[in-house]
Amino acid sequence: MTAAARRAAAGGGAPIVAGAVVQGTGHLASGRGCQDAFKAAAGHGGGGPATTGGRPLVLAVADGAGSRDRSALGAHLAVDAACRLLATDVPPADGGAAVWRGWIGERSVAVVDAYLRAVRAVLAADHPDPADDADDADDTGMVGAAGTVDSAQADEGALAATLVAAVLRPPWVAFLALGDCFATVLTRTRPGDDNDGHGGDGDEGSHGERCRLVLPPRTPAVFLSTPGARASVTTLVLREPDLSGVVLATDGCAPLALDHPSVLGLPDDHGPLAAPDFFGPLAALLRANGGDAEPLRALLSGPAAARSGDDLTVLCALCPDGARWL
Amino acid sequence: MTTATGATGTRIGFGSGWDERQPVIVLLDTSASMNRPAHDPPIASLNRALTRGFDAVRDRDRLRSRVEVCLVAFDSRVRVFDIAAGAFRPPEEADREALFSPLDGLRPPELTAGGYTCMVPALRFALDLARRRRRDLSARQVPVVRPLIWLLTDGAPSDEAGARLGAAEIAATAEQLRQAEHDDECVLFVIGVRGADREVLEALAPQATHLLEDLDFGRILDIVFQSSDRTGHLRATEISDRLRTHAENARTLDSLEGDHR
Repeated sequence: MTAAARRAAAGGGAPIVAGAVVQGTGHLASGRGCQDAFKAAAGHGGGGPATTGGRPLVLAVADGAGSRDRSALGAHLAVDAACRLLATDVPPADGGAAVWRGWIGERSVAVVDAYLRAVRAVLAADHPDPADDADDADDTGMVGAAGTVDSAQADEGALAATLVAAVLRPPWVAFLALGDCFATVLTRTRPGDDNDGHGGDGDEGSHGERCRLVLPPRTPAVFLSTPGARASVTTLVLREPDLSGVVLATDGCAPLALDHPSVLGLPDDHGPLAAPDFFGPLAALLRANGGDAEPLRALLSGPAAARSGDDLTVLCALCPDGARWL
Repeated sequence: MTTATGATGTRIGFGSGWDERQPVIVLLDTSASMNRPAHDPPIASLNRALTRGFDAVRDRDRLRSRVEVCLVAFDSRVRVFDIAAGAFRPPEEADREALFSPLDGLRPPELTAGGYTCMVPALRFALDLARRRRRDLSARQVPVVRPLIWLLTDGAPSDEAGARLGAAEIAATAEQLRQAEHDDECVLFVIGVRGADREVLEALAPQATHLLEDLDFGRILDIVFQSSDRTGHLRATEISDRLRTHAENARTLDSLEGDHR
C-alpha cells in the first residue's frame, strides 16, 4: 500500500506529515498481505504554537501480528482508536508535566479499551448470536459465562496488533506504546552543542539536528489484545523546546533505522540508537519536497530495505523548515 | 553502511547492527551409511549441496543479514565447524566464538562418511550450543530469536559401539528437547532422507519430523534456509507447515524439470 504525503493543516508553516507503509518481502514471499497501518490527525482545540496551526497533532502506527489471520484489520482499528481518543481534550502547551502525564495515562487505557470494543464488535458481527460472549464482555475483558473468557481472548488474538502513538503540542510530546513499534524525536542543535546525530555525546551532526530514540522496540511484543494489555502500555511525556520532528515506525524498520551501540563504541547495554544517517537525510528530504512521501515509499520498497523482510511503516511529523516548533 | 537514494538525490543511509539474528544449527549425519550405495553415495550429494547451497543464498539479502549458521557433523563422534580454522573439530577444541557465521561467511570443507550414528550426543551438544548462543547475543543486546536446530539423517541413533537405540533409550534426550522448546530456548526439526527411521526420529520431534526421501540434498538445504527465514515468532507446527509447502514446491519443480528433460 502506498500513502501520499499528508499535511495536518493547509497553508505555509504547517507541519509536514508524511508516511509510507510497504509490504515486507517476507510477507510477500509467504503470501501474507501487509499488516501494518498508520494514521495522522489534527487534534481539537487551539492554544498551540502557530506551526501546528494552534491544534495538536496525533500520529499513530500499528503492526498487526504476523501469524494472526485478521491482524491487518486489528492494526487499522488500533490507529483509528488512537487518533480519535488522543485528539480530544489535549492539555494546553503551557500545561505542566503532571497534567500531561495524567492525561496520557488515562488516554492510554481508553485507547486499549476502545480497540477491544472495536475488535469485539467485529467478532460479534461474525457471530450475531445474542448469547455471544462478546456481548457480555465488559471493558476489562471479563465475560459473564464461565469458561468463555479464554475463547473470547483467543478470538481477539486474531486481530492482535502493537501500537505506538504520539500527540504533539510543542514543546510537549506525549507517547503511548505497546509492543515493538518505536519512536524517535528530532531536535535542533544549538550553537556549541556536542552532537553526533544520535542525541548523545560525540561529533557535530551533519544536519544540525539530533535524533533520539525515546521509545525503543520492546520484546517480547505485547499486543493490544493480550490479557492485561492496559497495564503493559508504556507512556512517556517529553518537554522539548528544540523539537523539530517526531518519527514513529514499526519493528520491521528497526534494522534499517537503528544502530547497535557498538557502532558508536558504546557498551552493549546502552541499547539501540536512532541511526542519524537514516533520520537526518529523511527529514531533509521530506522538508525539501514539501512532504511528498513517494521517495520514502520508494526507499522502503528498494532492495536495500528488503533485508528486513517485515512490513515497513514510517510516519513523520516535521517542522517545515527544520526550525524549532517554539 | 547500506544506503539508498531518494528521488531528489538525498542519500539516506540505513542503520547497522540491529538486524534480528536467527541462529541455525545444522546437524549433519556423516555415518558410514552415508557412503552407501557406493556408486551414488549420499555424502557426495551432501557435499555438492553444501557448496551450492551456501553459494545460492549469498545473494539473498534478508537471509544473509539475519541467519547465522553453525554446522555440526556427527558419526562415531561429534565435530563442529570452526570457522576460524576452516575445519570440523571436536567441540572441546573448537573456538567457541567462531562457531556461528553469516551465510555468506561459511565455506564448508568436504565431508567424509564413516562410523556409527551418535546422534544423541550431537543433539545434546546442539541444545547446549543453542542456549549459549542465545544467551550470548542477548547479553550483547543483539536482537535474537529462538535458535533452530535442523537434524539431517539417513538412519537412526546408535550408541558409541554401534548398537541401535530405540525410542525408549532416547526418551531422556527427547524430553530435554521438548522442555527446551516449551521454554522457547530452541526448536528441533528432523529431516530424514533415504533409510531414516521415522518411528525413532518422531520420538525426538513428534510434530516436526519430515521424511524427504524423494528430494536431493540441494533441495533440502534450500528448504532448510527458506524455512529458517522469519520464523522467530512462529510455533513449531507453523514452521513445519511452511516446510511442507516448500517441500511440495520443490517436488513440483523437480517434476517440471523432469518433464522438461
